[in-house]
Amino acid sequence: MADLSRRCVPYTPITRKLSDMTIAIVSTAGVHMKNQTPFATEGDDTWREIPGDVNTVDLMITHGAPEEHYDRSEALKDMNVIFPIGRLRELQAAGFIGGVAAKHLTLMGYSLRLQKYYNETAPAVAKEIERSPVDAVLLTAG
Amino acid sequence: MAGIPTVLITTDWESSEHQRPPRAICPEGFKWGHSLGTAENKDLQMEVLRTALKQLEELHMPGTVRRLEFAGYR
Repeated sequence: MADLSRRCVPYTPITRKLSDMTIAIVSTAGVHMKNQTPFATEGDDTWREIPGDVNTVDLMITHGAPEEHYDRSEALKDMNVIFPIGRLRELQAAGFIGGVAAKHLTLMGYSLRLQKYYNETAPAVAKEIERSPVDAVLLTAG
Repeated sequence: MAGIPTVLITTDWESSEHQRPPRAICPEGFKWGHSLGTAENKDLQMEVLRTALKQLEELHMPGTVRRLEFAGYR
């Protein structure tokens, strides 16, 4: 952990106005579609793709964190609490953002292999995002 | 410049600040798992989300977490 925090801040400036930006969500809250393979609660560094037009009732949470560290009760009533895809679509309709990405990525932010997460998983996720036309990423955690 | 701009919504500002995120907000007092608030309060979810996204355009001290108060959280 300490080793990671000594690295420089990966700040990327914006190149267009928010109202022209297409936004993608990358979340470590353990959200996935009900028909996708659940995350392994003992530790998992794989990710799932969530389509931008997903119905939030088709989403569920699989996460290894105990309830006192991650209260899912609100998100299970409305997944927008941790994965605000519906709210993003409303902001697009209102012209606040330019668009909602066709693809969003979710992980379960619990892995004992932190170095692998940092050196392999995170760059792979970033590469996956950069492959699609996305201007900025909203990050949420559990 | 390579890379993609990000903004983080965290409910654990201390852990997040250790990672020195380029842009991040923490709604003060929100429980872990309640990143945008509660299920019943859609207006609050919107307010948190709009505030987070606006960080992309506003001046933000990279590597810090902005701790912000939001009205309406139980």
